[in-house]
Amino acid sequence: MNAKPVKKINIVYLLLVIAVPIAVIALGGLIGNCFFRDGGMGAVVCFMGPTLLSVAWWILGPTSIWNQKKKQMMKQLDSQGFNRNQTFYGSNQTVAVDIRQGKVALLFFWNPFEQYILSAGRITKTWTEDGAGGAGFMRGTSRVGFLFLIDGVKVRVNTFTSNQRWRMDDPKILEAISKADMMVQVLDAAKQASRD
Amino acid sequence: MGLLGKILAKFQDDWCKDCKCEMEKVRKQLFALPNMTVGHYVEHKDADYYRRNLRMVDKKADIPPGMYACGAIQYRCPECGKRVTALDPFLPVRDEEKHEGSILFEHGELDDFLWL
Repeated sequence: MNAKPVKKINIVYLLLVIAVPIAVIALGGLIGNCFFRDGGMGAVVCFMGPTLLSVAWWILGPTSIWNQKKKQMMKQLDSQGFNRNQTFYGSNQTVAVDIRQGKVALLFFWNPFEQYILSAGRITKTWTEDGAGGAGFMRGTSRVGFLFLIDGVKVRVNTFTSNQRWRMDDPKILEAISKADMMVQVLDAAKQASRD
Repeated sequence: MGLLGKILAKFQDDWCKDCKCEMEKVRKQLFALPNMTVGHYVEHKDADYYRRNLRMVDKKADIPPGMYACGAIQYRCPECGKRVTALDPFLPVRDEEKHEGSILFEHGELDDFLWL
């Protein structure tokens, strides 16, 4: 099990993802400016190449690392005898729970190189947030999720997000609330098991 | 009654399709479907599936979050005696329910099951 405190964001990784492509674009521009002042193919390659590569990296890079790390984590959990009773793949976090052993496994999008396998006893609070707002027929939500506090760090996992407001009795919202309630119950059960 | 009866028989679970009359409710029971969880609902038309997987419960509160429930009603036609079992799988979410559409068994597939 991991004794380190939970860190949702690895600042170095975050900066590398954002800053390195910017530096590459700047370097390309500098080379183009110094050596291909008259234009031509060299200038096009120096200015356009790094820009296109950087945009491709921003679109595909972090997502492919994230997907690969998720798969890797699941394989490792299975090989370590972690019985995944419930696994929830959120957009920025993956949460797996072994109820019987009272363990929680976490992986974060902005910290994909660090897998956390922790005792569920370190969770201090769990709850569902349905995001309900508005009154009367305008009552609705655009975000539903489950949250928990582990080592004092708040982890929010969305089960539904939208740029529109949806009615609270909409099937999509009901399903999202149900998923969140189920995960809260599973986390509570694991927490209980870790104490027994 | 003729046309209305035909329409009701076609769209209402509790109308006998042969006699075009309203059937009486013989038995009503709530079940849990433990192997069907939120986000993984698959409709089954096979009566044996429900025989194997339905677990009788007293009230909705006995069903844990994320697990599907299934309401079962057995009807009997007062004229021809035909029995029909209607299953209504749904996801209970706090005070609300997300229904997946009812499934009718009109050939006695679940007649004895509800009486066990």
